[in-house]
Amino acid sequence: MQKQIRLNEDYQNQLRQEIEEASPFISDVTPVDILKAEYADNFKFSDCFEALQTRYKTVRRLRRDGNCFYRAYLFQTFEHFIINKTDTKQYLRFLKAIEGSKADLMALGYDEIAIEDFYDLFVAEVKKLPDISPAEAQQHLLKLLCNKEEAVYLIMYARFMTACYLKQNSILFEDFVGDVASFCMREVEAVDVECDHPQIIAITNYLGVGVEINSVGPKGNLEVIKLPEDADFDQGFRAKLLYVPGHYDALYQ
Amino acid sequence: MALKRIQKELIDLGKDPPANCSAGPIDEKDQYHWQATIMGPDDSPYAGGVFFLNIHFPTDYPFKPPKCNFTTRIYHPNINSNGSICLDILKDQWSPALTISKVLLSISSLLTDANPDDPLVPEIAHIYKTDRPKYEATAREWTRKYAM
Repeated sequence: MQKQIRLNEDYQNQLRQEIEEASPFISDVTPVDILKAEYADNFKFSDCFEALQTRYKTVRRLRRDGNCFYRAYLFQTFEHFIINKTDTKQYLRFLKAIEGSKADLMALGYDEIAIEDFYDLFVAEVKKLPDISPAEAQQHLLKLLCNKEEAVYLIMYARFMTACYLKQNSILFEDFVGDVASFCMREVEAVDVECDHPQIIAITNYLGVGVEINSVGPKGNLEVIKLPEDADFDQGFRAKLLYVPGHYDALYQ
Repeated sequence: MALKRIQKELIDLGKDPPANCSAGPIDEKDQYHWQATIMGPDDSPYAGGVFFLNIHFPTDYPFKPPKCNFTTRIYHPNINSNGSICLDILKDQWSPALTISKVLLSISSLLTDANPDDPLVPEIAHIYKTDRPKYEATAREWTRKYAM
């Protein structure tokens, strides 16, 4: 049995290594047609990608490591604030939420020493955004969000802020996810665990930056979902994502 | 970053130690390797015993849990003869929001409330469930023999 467990672990490590070698954390922008070719075997997807091409020109592919949603969301949001220096209203709302998050988490029972390294780094990086020139956005963000140091801390803190909103509003979520505290432990704060709708609703509401998710509908059509649905979020920037079952990529017009 | 966090936890343990527990590096030169002690809880058959544990922090702590095992022998359904501990937060329920202080408190409450439905030593779990006085007597005897 021990041998079997070891073999399974070896296999998982091998798979992980293969994924790492095959794809970067975040790719350069690539024409959207690449998706059509990639899913050519699945005729159900072809209409969807036709329609997607009318809305978006390029895509950044994300590594399938369980963090794709968080990484894509942070990349597009940070990129928006670097490029659109005039959008101070949404930036200040975003910064205020992040600056208040340490106190929010501590009020929920989190230990300061367990969250402050994550918090300090996140606040520092968000405060740097207005000073980065738009021409350097891509280079800066590919460096910041594609490594095994800062990126891991930033994504983990995004998970903590997600858990924060879920716990603060547990009454809204418990019918869907069961006990919110154990859901957060299992499905939010666990390292490299994929993100689902409740987590997306939580982080977008907490940070005041919504998302527009493009996905394949039940009839192979393109389905566009906005989270949160509230029109208030349409006033500001929404991250543009492509969802294929189990995975998110970032879309560009 | 891992080392910074481990050092913060050490300072915090000094300032605000959890009840009946202590922990720190064995050798100042190796901050990733600690020893901890847990006093047997009063309301358990381990009362009066002092239990030693080894703690190894992985280099990617706190993203991976610390490895903890008892070096003092203990009669418990969730702790085997190698000192390995069957506790969810040391495995798949680990979160980087946890600290070694929280881990020691969880191990301490495992001594008061064993979890016989997820045993590491099925024989002890069986006795725990079917003949509680016998389990308590054996646990007290081992505590006297190995932990006092």
